[in-house]
Amino acid sequence: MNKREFLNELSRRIGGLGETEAANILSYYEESIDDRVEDGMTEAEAVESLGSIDDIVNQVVSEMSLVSIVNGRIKKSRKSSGVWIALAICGSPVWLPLLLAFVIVILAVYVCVWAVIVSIWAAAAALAASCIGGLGVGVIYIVNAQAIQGAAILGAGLVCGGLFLVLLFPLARLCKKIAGLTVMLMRKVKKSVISGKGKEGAR
Amino acid sequence: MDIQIKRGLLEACVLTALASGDSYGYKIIRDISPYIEISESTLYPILRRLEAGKFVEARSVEHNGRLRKYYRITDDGHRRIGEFKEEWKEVMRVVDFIMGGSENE
Repeated sequence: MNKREFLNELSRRIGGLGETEAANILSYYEESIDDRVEDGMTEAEAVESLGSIDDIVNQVVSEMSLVSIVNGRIKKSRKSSGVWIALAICGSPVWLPLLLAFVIVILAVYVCVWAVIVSIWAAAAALAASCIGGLGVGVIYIVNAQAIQGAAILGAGLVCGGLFLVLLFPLARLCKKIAGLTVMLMRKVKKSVISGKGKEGAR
Repeated sequence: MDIQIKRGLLEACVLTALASGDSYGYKIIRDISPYIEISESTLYPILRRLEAGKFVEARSVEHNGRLRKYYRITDDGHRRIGEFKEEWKEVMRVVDFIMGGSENE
């Protein structure tokens, strides 16, 4: 990839950022490439040494909140003259519900993910409680000379306790994975918002 | 390395590189990369943050028919380096304790 191609591709991927922000990033990378070329690299080598565009976009996104990204996006749209604003107002019956639906879907995904995590821990807590309860009740039965029932309940309690211990670490890991997924989802959303060829850009 | 620790270290590295004279993106990377891993994409947000916090000032200078952005450390930037050194004296004490922990037993 040469410098032009690199900058065009990067510009396309971050075109949805506010204009000044996007221009700052582009001139920064252009300067970096020029400095490397001056240092004796070929243009292709210089571009290569900057790493993948995806990493660059990820880095940009991880430093900005979704709110500031959306603000930049809105500011960018505002610049595009009164006609655009008129269109936006006329079109609001169409895009307002769409936007609302988009926000609700993201929210729903979050709620689902956290519901899964909560239910996993509820199950684990139930196992732990059954273990303690089973042991307690089992002992009471045995003390009251009902050894067979007591042993059965005691055994059930121990099984629950064992399950709890065996499942504890895999569950903790699973929860961490799921939480990581929400982070990934947020990054995906941000990236699609700053991308110049996003749905909003096409309108 | 822990990402939060690395972020703090990188900021201090960039300020230290600038303390010995004005510099630009690629030169900063060349100056500090023998000591810590840094790439263009990690440097950019650091410079942005430092500039927003008024620890450095940027100005564009013409160089070979193109513009190059030079960064200069401010008084606040120098103070920030001082704070960093103080903080790390404390950290080093803790690290010494942790590193010596198994031998002291």
